Amino acid sequence: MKSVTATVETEYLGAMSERTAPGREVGLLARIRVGDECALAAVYDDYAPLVYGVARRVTRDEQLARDVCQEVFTYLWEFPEKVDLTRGPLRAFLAMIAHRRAVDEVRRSERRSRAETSSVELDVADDANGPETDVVDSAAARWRDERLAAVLDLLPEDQCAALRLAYFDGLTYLQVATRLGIPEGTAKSRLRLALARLRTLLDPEFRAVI
Amino acid sequence: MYDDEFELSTLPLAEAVAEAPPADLRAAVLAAAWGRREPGRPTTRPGRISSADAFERSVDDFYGLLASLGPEDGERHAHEDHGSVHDLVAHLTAVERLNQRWLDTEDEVELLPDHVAATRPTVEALAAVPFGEVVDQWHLAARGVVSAARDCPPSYPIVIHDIPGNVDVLLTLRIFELWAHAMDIAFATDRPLPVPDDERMLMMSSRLMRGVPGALLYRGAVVTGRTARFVLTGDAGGCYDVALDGGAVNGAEPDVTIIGDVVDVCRIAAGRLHPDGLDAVIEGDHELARLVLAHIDAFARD
Repeated sequence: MKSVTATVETEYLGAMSERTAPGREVGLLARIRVGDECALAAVYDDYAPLVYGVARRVTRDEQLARDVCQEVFTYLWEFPEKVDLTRGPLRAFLAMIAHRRAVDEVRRSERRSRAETSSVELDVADDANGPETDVVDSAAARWRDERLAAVLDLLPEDQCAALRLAYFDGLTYLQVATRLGIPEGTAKSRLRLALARLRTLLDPEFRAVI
Repeated sequence: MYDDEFELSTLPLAEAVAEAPPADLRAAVLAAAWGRREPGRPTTRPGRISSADAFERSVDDFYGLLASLGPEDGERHAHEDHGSVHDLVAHLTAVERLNQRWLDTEDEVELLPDHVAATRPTVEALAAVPFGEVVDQWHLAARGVVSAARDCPPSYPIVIHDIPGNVDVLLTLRIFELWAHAMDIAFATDRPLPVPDDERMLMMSSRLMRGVPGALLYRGAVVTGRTARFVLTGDAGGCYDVALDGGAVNGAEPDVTIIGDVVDVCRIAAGRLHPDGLDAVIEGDHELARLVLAHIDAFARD
C-alpha cells in the first residue's frame, strides 16, 4: 500500500503543475467572465474527470452523474464570480459544487423512491448498481478504488469510516453517528481530525517534502 | 450540514475518484452552458454612454488632475514632443480650439495633417502664461468642445488631421488622447496612472475593436482573409471577432486569439504601452498577433 500511497501523493504534486497553476486559473475565470467559450471548454477538459468522478461515486448512477456534471459547468459559466481562488484552487471549488449537487441528487432520488415504493428501503451500499461487467470499466474502477484506498489509507480506520459515510454517502453528522453507533460529538470530532489530515495533504509545503 | 471548509478539504478524495466522463458529455455540457449565457456575452456589462457624455467625463477627470497640480508641477517634463506639463496643456488648449472649429458646421477649416504642428503657434503664444491660467484656458476650450459636440449630429463628417471620420470618431480619439496625456502627467508628477471608468472603457475598447481593420489599412498592413479574436478581460471586457481586412467575420476559427486585459490593450492603442509589455496569451498565429498589436496605435496622434 505504501507504493500506491506514494503514487497518489505524486499525483497531487502533479496536480500543482502548470495546468492548474493559479495564474492560469485566474486567467481562465477572467475569460469566462467576458464570455470566452473556449475558456469554459478548457476548464471542462481539465476538470471534467474530477467533477464526473465525484458525481458518479456519490450518485452511483451514470445519468445522474451526467446531470451533475452539466449543472456544475453551467453554474461556473453563469456565475464565475462565485469562485474565490483565495480560498482554494478552481478544482477544489468544482469538486465542492459537484459533491453538493450529487448529494442533492441522491436525496431527491431517495425521496422519489420513498414516495413511489414506501415499503422498499433504498439500498445505498457500494455495489448498489450491481457488478460492472465491462472489462475496461472494471479495470478503471479498480484503479480508482486503489487510488481512493491509498488516500483513505492515510487516515486511521475510524476516521476513514466516518469520512466515507459523510463524503461519499452524503450523510449528516447525526446519520454518520447513528450508522457507526457513536455519539454525534464523536462523529464530528472524527471528521474534524480526518479533514485536518486531508488539509495537510493539500498543503503545498507538505507535498513538497513527500 | 457541512460547510465549505469540509468540502474544500476533501479535494484529495475527489481527486482519487476522478474518472473520464463519457465522450459525448462534453458537447452536451457546453451546449447547456451556452444556452444559459451566449458565448461572447460577459456576465456583467457596464452601461452604454454616448461619446459626448464619455468625452465630458474625460474632460472632468483631466481637469481634476490638473487642478491637483501646483505651479512647480507645470515645469516637470511630461512628453517627448511637447516637453513640460505646462506646454502639454497648452498643446491641448490648441487641440480643443481646433476641435471647436471642426464641430462648427459653418467653419471651413483648412486641412491640418500634422497634429503636433497644428498646435505649435498656440503653445508658443501661451509659453509665458502662468500654468494655472493655461489650465483655465484649456478647461474653457474643452467645455466648449463638449457643448459643440452635443449640438452636432454624431455622424457629421470631420477630417481629423488626415483621418476621415465624424463627430463620434473625433470624440473617441479625443477620449484616448486625454487619457494618454493624463497618464503622461500622472507619470511626470508621481501620481497613480489614471484609468477611465468602466462605461468609458467599454466604449473605448469596443470602438477600438471596430477600428482595428482601419488601423491596419492605414499602416498598409496586408491581412487579407485573416481574422483575429480579441478576448479582453476585465470589468469592461468582452470578446470581439474581427475580420482584419474589414470584411465579414465568417464564423470559422480565428487565425489568432489575443487574450489580454482591456485596459492594457487600450493603453497600447493610446501609445502608452509597448505591445511587448502586454501580459497577453496568444493562441494561433503569433506573427499575426505581433502585426496586429504593432498597428492598433495607428490613430494615436500625441
